Amino acid sequence: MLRKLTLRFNILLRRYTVLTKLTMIGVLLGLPLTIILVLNLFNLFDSIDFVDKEKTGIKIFIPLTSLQVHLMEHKAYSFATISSGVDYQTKIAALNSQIKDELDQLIKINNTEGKNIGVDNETMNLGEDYYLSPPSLMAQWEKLLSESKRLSPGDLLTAYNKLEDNLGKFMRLVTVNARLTLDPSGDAYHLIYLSIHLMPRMHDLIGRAFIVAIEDAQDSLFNNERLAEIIYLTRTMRNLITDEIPSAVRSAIDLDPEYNGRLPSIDGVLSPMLEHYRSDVISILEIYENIIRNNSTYGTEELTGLTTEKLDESLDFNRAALNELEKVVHINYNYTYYRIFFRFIISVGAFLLAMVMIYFTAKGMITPVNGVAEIARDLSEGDIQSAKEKVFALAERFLVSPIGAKKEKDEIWKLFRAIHGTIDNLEIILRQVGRAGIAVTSSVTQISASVQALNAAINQQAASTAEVKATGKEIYSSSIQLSETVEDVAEKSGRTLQLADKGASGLTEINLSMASLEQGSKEIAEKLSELYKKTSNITNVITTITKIATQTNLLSLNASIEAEKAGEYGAGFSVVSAEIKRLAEETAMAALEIEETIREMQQAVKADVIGVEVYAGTTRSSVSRISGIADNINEIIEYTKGVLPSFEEVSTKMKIQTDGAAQISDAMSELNDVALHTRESISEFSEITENLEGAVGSLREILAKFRFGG
Amino acid sequence: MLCLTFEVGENRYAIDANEIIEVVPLVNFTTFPKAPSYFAGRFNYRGEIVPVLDLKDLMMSFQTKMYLSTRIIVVKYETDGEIHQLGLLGEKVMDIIRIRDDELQDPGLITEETRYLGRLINLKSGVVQLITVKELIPPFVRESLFRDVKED
Repeated sequence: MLRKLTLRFNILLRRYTVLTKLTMIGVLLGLPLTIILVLNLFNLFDSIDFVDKEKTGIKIFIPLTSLQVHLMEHKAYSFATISSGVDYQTKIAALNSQIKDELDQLIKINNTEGKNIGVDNETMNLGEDYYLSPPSLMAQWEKLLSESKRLSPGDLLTAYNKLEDNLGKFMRLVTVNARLTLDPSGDAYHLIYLSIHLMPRMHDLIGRAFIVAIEDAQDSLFNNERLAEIIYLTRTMRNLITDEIPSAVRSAIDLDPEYNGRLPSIDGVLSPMLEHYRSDVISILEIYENIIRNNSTYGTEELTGLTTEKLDESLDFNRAALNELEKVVHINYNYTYYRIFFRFIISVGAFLLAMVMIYFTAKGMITPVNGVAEIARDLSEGDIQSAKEKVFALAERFLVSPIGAKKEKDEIWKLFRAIHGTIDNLEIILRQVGRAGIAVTSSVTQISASVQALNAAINQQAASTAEVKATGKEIYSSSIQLSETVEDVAEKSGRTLQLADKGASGLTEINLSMASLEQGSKEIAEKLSELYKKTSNITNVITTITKIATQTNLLSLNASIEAEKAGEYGAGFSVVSAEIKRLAEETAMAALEIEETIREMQQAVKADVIGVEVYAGTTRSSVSRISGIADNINEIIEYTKGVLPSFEEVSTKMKIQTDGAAQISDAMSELNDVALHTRESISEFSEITENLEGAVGSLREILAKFRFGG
Repeated sequence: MLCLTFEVGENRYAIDANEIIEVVPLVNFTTFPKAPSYFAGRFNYRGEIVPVLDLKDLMMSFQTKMYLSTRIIVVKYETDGEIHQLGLLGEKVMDIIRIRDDELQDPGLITEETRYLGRLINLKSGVVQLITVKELIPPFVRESLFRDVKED
C-alpha cells in the first residue's frame, strides 16, 4: 500500500521537469513563510492603527484637559464671586471665550479625527453616550452659562459638577476608545498614566478642594463632613504630588531608552517643571491643611487667585507631559513603520531571493544534465567524436576546475568526470572490438577459403576415387584377359618344348665334326705364338732402355730443381742437367724407333699366318656358335619346363588379383560415399562459416555506427 | 721462375720448383683407411712417412694411371708455421719450363673448391696452369692430416 503510494507519487513527480519541481518546493516552503510574514505585517498594521488611535486620542485630549482646567477655573471664579462678592467678570468673560474657543476646537478636531476612535458626532449620536459628544457638551455649557444667573448656588454647583462629570466621562470614553491605557511601551504608558489619569484627577481634586474651602470660608460653623472631605482631598493630593506623579515621571524617564529610544526632552522638560509644580502644589496643600485646622490666613480672593494659578501651572505641566507623550507616540509610530518596511523587505526579498536561487540552481543542474543527456544520445547513435567535443564544451561552460582535477564537491563535475571516463573507455573498447572484428573477419575469410579449398579437394578426391574405381575395374578386366593370355602362352610353350628337343639332337652331330677342324688350326697358332715370344724379348730390351731413359729424365728433373734451389751457384749444373735431359730424350727416341721396326716385323709374321688364323677362328667360332645354339636350345627346353608350372601359379595369382581389384572397386565405392558425406558436412560447415561471416558483418555494421575521432 | 710441369687428365699444370723437394719414382703406398679417396696413401721417403695426394682424384675424381711417367712430386707443405712433406701423384711428370712473371694471366673462374688453381700461361704446346700447393688440401682435412705430426 505504502509502496504503491510512493510509486504513484514518483510517477506524478516525473511528469514535471526539475525546474518545475524545485519551483514547487520553493513555493511550498516559501509561501507559508511569506503568509506568516504578511500576517505579521498585518499585526504591525494593527499596531500602527493602535498608535494612530493613540495619537488621535492625545490630540483630542489636549483641548479636553485645557477645557477641564478652564471649566474648573470658571467654576472657581463663579463661586468666588458668589461667596466673596468680588467681581471676577473680566476673568470669567476671558474664560468664557477661552472655553468657547476650546470647545469649538474640540468639536472641530473631534469631527475630523474623532471618527478614528469612534467619538465623532455621527457615531456618538447613534449610541447611548450621545450626550457626551462635544456639540452636546457645547450645548450643555451654553445652557449652564445662560442659566447661571437664575440658578441657586447649589443648583449651579450641581450643573457645573454635571458638566464636569460629562466632560470626565467623555475623557474616559476617549481614553478607552483610543486604548491609551493599553500602550505596551513603558515610557508611553507612564506618561499616559500621568497625563490622562493622574493630572485630571489632580485638577479635579484641586477644584473640589477649592469649593470645599470656599464653602468653609462662607460657613464658619464646624462641619465634620467638610473636614473629612478636605482631609481626604489633601491626603490624596499629597499622595499624588509626592508619590504617584513623580514616580510616574521617573518611570517614564527611566523606561524611555528601553522602548522608543532615548528622548532627552522628557527628562529635560518634565523634571524641572515637576520640581516647581510640586513645591507649588505643596504650598497650596499647606493652605488647605491650615484651613482644616481653622487657622486660615487667606481670604477667598487670595485663595481663588492661588488656586487658579496652581491650576494654570498644573495645566502647563499636563500640557508639557502630553506634548512629550505625543512625541513618544510619534516615535513609536515611525518606529512601527520602519518595522513594517523592514519586515516587508525581508519577507518579500527572501522569497524572491529563494526563488532566484532555486531557478539558478535548477538551471545549473538541468543544463549540464540535458547536455549529458545529449551526449548520451550521441553515444547511443555512436557519434563518439561529437560526444567528446560536447563533454569538453560543457566542461568549459560549467566547470570551475578542469576535468583532470582530483577532487571536487560539485556533483555535476563528478558526472562529467564519469561521462568523460565512460566515453574514453567506450572508445578504447570499441576500437578493440573493431580490431577484433577485423581479425575475426579475416579469420572467417581464411576459414571459408580453407573450406572452399577443402571442398575442392574433396571433389578432386571424389573424382580421383572415381578414377581409381574405374582403374580398378580396368585392372579387373585386364587381369581376366591376362589370365586367359597366360593360359594360352602355357599351351604354346608346351608345343615349343617338343620342337626344341628335335633341334638339339641335330646340333650335337655338327659339333663333333667341327671339333676336329679346330684341332688343326690350334697347332698353327702354337707356332705363331713361338714367333711372338721371340719378338717379345726384343721388346723387353726396348722397355729396359725406355726405363733407363725415364730414370735419366727423372734424374735430370731433380737436378734442374736442385740447381734452381742452388740459384747462381747451380747455374752451371743446370746446363749439365739440361744436357742429361736432352740425352734421355734422344735415348727414348732411339728406343721408340727400334720398337717401331720390331712392330713392323711382327705384322709381317701376322700376315703370313693370317689365313690359318682366320680359318681357325671361323671354325672355332662356328663350333662355339653351334654349341652355343645347342646350349641355348637346351636352356630353352629346361626353362620352358621350369616355366610351365609357373604359368599355373600366375594364373591363380591373376584370379586373386581379379578378386583384389573387385575389392578395390568396392572399397572405392565406400570411399566415394564417405567423400559425399564429407562434402555434405563441409557444405554445412560452409553454411556455419557464412553465418559467422554474417554475424561479423552485423558486428561491423554496429561498429560502423560509432564514429571515432582522429 | 722454374716450374715442373705434369698432366692431370688432359690438362697441363705446373708447380714452382722452389716448392719441390724432389721428384721420386712411383712406389707402393700404405693406404689411409676411411680417408678421402684423393689420399692415395703413405710412403717411406728417406726414412720419413709422407702422405701422398692423388691430384687426378682430387681434381676429377679419377684415379691416376700408373704410367712410367707417373711420379711422386715431394713438396714442402707449410701449415701453422710448420713445414711438412707431401707427395703429389701426377702423370707425365717429365718436363721443366722457365716462365717469366709477365707471361702469366689470370685464370678467370676459381671456385671455393679449386682455390689451389693459380695463374695460366699460354705456351705453344698448350695452356699450363700454376698450382698453389698450400691450397691443395681442404682446411678441415689439413688439421687432421698433420695432427699426429704436430703432437710429436
